[in-house]
Amino acid sequence: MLTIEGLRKEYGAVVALQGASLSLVPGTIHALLGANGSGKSTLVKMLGGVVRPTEGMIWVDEQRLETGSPAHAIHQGIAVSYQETSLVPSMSVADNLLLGIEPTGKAGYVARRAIRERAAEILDQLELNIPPDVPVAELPTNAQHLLEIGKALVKRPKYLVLDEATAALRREEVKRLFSIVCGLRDEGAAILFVSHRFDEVYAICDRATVLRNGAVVGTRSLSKTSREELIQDMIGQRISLEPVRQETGNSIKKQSLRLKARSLTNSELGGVDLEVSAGEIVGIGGLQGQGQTALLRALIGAILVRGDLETEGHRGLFRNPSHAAESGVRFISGDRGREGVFGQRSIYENIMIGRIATSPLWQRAWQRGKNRAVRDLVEQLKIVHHSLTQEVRGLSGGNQQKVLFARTLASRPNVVILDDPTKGVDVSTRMEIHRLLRSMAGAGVGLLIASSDDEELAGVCDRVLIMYEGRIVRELTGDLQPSHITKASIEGAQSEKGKGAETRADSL
Amino acid sequence: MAFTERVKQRLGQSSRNSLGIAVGVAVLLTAVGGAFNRGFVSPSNLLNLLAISSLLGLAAAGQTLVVLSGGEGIDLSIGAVISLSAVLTSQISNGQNGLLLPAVVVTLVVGVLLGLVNGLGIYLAQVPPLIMTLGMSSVIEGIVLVYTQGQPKGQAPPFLAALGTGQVLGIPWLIIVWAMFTLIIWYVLKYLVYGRLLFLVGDNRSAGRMSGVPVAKLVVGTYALSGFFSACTGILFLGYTNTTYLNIGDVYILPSVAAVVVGGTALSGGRGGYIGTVVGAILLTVLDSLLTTLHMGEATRGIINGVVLLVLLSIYTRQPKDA
Amino acid sequence: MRTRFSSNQTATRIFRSPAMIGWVLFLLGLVANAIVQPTLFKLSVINSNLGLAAPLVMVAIGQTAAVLAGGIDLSVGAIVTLTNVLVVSLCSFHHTGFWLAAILGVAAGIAVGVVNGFIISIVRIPALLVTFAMMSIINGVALAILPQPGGQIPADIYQIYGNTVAGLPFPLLLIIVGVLLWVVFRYRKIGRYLIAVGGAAGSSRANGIPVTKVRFQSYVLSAMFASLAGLFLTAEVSSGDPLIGASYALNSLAAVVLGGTALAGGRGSVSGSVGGALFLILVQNIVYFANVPSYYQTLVSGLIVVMGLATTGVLYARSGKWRLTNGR
Ligand SMILES: Nc1ncnc2c1ncn2[C@@H]1O[C@H](COP(=O)(O)OP(=O)(O)OP(=O)(O)O)[C@@H](O)[C@H]1O
Ligand SMILES: [Mg+2]
Repeated sequence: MLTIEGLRKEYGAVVALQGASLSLVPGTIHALLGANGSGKSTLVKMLGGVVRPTEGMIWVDEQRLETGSPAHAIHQGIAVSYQETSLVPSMSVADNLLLGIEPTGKAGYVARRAIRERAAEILDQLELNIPPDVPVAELPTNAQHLLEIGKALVKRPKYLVLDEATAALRREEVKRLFSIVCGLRDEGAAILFVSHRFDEVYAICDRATVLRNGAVVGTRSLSKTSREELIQDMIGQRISLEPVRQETGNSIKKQSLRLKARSLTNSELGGVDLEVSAGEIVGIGGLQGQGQTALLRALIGAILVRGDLETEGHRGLFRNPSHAAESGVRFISGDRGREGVFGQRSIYENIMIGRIATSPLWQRAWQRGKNRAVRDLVEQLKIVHHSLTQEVRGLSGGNQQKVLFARTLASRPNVVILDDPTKGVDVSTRMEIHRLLRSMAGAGVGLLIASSDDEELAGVCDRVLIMYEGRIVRELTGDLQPSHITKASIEGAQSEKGKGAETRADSL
Repeated sequence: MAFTERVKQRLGQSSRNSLGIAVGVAVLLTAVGGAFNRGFVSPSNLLNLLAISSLLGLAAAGQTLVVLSGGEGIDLSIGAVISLSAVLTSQISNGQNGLLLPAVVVTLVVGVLLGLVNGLGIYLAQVPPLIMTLGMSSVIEGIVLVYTQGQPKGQAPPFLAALGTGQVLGIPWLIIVWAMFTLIIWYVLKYLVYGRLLFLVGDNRSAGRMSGVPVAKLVVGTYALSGFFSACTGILFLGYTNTTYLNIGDVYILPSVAAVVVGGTALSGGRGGYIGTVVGAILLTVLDSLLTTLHMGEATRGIINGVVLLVLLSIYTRQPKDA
Repeated sequence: MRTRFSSNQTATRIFRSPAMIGWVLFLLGLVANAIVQPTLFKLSVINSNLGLAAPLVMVAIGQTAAVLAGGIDLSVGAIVTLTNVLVVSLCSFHHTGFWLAAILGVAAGIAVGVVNGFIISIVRIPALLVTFAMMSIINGVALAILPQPGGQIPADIYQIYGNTVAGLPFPLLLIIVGVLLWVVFRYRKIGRYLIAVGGAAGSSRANGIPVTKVRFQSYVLSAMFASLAGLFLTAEVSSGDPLIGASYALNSLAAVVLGGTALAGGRGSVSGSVGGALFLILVQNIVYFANVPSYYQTLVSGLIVVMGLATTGVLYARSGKWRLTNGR
């Protein structure tokens, strides 16, 4: 049994966690819930030894865990799959899987064959079809997250901690993960599961501990607790969980075309045609890695592509994202930390860049009135902050995401292209973001959204395009249901595979 | 929003913090110099120190911008560009006021072009800045050798010499020129689109690209600006020394980086500013002059310079512990 | 439903590996050199070229260790100088036996690495700045030990270095020993951890890798190779000079980059750096033997190196698609 007693963590003046306690019982799966910035990852990092607690202790089987030492935590049988992953991008898949626990042969040399064999074994268990000697940096994000999980599993842990491990995964991958995790549980491991997705939590967890503002609200048995109760614990009030799409309807549809792409082709795309009208939200779905990311990046000129493009006042492909921005086509990357926020700069600058990114370099940047505009945006989006000059890296993930939206709104875009806009965002913020997307559409912006979450696509889009192997194979309109999108993704794949191809639908 | 919280936030901004320290250390060093030798703190010596600092300060101006632009930005070619510029101006003008203007124009254009080559190599060919600018240094040194056949000729025209050594109302012209440059750079960094984007792109280049900043133009342009500032430094250096010889700029290469860092600009980019560099340049010049005043041999000077630098750096470039 | 990933062929992976660039450059250099200097493959010429190359190769190997681990070591040149002046002045002014002097010289170099490593990994100050300051300090110390060029080492040492052993040039054997020494580290945990720490320090820490220790070791390694280089250089020139190592810091970095190692750390190989170092030596040769007028030599060799760097950079960008999307 693993027991956490009064864990507390302060970052300067910020209290990330204030005296959290909980215990993990062998043979059970324990959920850790809470809104963005409530301190879940902080707790997880302290379990893994990455962060040293300001106060409090952790007991493993009556033995005190030396805090702040990842090596010690691993030695005690605690394995963590971190939210931000702990992979080394330049190293190969196999080397990453056994990083820090490499078997050594005689004379202290690392046994490379043994590493490859162990790696192949765990890749097989995860049903990951990845050559073990590819550098991790070349893998798509979901594969990286699967590897991060694999890295924890390879240690055969007594205590497995999964911090939003499923956020970047697709449905079928989540299923596979669950069967492995449940297997571990049945062998007597204790699992701490962090997620914003309630259906997952209800599917495998026995108990749930809810954090709010860094404090434990309570631990409940899930069989006796409803979603509403959990949400109330998380945010301290009741909210409605109705999808937002009904609010606007289809009245503005087909007003004017905002973006029209013809036969976009490169190594990942096989001739994509696409149209987005003003006031319309178009979704892009499909199984993972079918060229969704490439499509979004091709549209803004971030990667090389052939084909034709048309936007208001511009014809032809964009040379680079800056060129696209000049024509009012803006992009919000799914990789918030790397391609989204400027962590060391202020909230104000992070939003203002939306305005000045494409201005002539010698112009004055800050003009009267702009200050006001930024302040309004921050208020409108309810960004939780204590000062506009605060560094953005001090904000929680959800609030950082809102800063990106504020930046995009400040740029007065015609078209907004979003990659997984609510990845790792908590329920209530997610609802807010969906509402925001709808209101942007209501103001005449055309939106194109790729998402790994079919529920999100169904809830917020007017139309959903299903991609398979770099082409659009289906278009869904009308009354969208998550299950329809999932089904179409799989069917699209099958019908494209042709007659003789084996089908794997049974595994779902 | 309590007062204490604001103070904490202020202190958290390490650049301001280190600026204070740098000013303190510079004053302390001057005081030490005064204690050993009264003449060290005489107004004329102080002004002279400032005038010498101005050359390092200008050389470090481009360095500041380049470091701010991120991507491990650094410009080690400034020494070679300074040498080349001094040589170009001196040979073209050949000591005549009338030829000064064309000489200066040619020199500035060459400086900018060399900076452009740096920028293109770094941005397009993705050569790490440290190595690209280093390689360019040896190319530029080669150009100097070819151009001068090993023997720089000519000298500073009287007008330039007056600018380099003359005074107005007892204040050296160099200081006035530097003050003007400082004002302009400060304004550009604080108020113009270029400056604001430089900080953002320096913090996170990919994010800058994705949010529509013309990163290529910005980064390549910054290296070109660095070439421009180095050319200016070379021209003024010629005015200061009147004649020139090969590799005069080499002494500025690493001190310019040191001045930037001592002034609180993060080597990782995106944080800092030119005012800090100004203080850093003054500090380093005072330190050097102090060691000379104390009649230290070259060996001891090198050792003490290094130790003081290490101590200074350990005060304010300490990285936070990971946990 | 399996997660698919289109696999790359191992063969293309090796061919596209950054180290290849260093060796291709080396081969190109070799061909060019052979054209302008027909006697290149005579044993005595090979011998003298390798004698020149061995010190740079050694420094480059050490530099690779520092760079792979995400750092940089600008003090290697000063360490070369320190070992040189120490060995020579011990031999000629203090009547120390050569081998004792050699051991002391190398030990002094390693001590510098220990100080570097301590300040960088434990006090946590950026490596560029620490090793730069250390360069200034150690150069000062060297100047204090031997203010003027001079002194000499026993003649037999000098002769061994320029000679052949079992038909092989002695410097070549030294280079091989150097590479083997590296291999001893590379294929243990420490070698792996250098790359892991350089690639992602935070991730390495989370996986229980002793990041501080690894960083520390990388500077000791770098200093060790640099002081061995100092020893080789002393055997090559047979006298002392307080400025002898000045060019090594930057040349070793150039060799590392030409060999396809990322200056940001975490990616690269020593074999590439060896290729890069040999290429740099060949460039000097080519320029000399191609009868380039003396005033043009710096320019031409500089241009060749810059073009080599640009080619490396471009090929490097192509070698992994992630570099492109990682976006500069
Ligand atoms: N290194 C840090 N420095 C300052 N504040 C931090 C740091 N890390 C976390 N915080 C703050 O601690 C709080 C808790 O963060 P944490 O990452 O634990 O949240 P979380 O519950 O995991 O949120 P999410 O669901 O978005 O992942 C947040 O307010 C965050 O801003
Ligand atoms: Mg979290």
